[in-house]
Amino acid sequence: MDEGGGIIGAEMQIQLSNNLNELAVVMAALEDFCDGAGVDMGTAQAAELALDEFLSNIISYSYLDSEEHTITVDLAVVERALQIKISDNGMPFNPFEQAEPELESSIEEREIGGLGIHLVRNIMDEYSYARLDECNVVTLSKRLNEG
Amino acid sequence: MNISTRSVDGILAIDIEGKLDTQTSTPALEELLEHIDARPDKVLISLSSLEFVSSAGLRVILRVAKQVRGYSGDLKVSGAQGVVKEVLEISGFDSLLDLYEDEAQAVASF
Repeated sequence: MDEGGGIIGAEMQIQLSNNLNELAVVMAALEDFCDGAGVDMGTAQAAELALDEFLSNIISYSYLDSEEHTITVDLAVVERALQIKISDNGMPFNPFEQAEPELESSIEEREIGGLGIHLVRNIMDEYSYARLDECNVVTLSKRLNEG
Repeated sequence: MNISTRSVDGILAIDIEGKLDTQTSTPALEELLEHIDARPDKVLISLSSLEFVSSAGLRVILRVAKQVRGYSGDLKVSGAQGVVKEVLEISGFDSLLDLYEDEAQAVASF
């Protein structure tokens, strides 16, 4: 095995329902995947942050009904990067078109909305959004730290 | 996530260990607000054992800071490292909160 470089071609798909209690299962699966695929800790933590932010947003805001919906997370190591794809069939929402939060405002008047997306934008190397087959598809990528 | 308190030179030091994320933020906030219910003047939040924070966790820290400032108390944050430090910096919290590298510096600054 190429130490620290990750195992090229490793893949995992995780499906969850729109319930915040499902996050624990997703994070455990992410940890297993990262351990097995040789993903370094910094990259694994960035992925955990991205999943926490995006899945909590989708579960809390994406569905207008109270039905159960399935959200799909695909993880893959591609060309020395961890790639994450999150698909949901909620209402159309491009997170990367949202305004950047006001980071300079004082603690008393600070708006928190948008902070999670701001964090993910800054911590990941690449991000994109598409609306495909009535699904929101967010793709994120972070280069592995060569150990 | 685990929260515990200590007294250091008359300062209420609160240690947050583990992960402060979407799943743990609600119980963490409840517990932290209980600890400052008696309105301690000097509060130090120690993050040296915190392994992970997301925006839900940042909201908790901000909420506690507002509460302490609301009763004219003084709140400092110390010990963030690794991804926690990175997240605090990216979010601009270094300009909103009094952040210190280590606890001794934070204690001396009150």
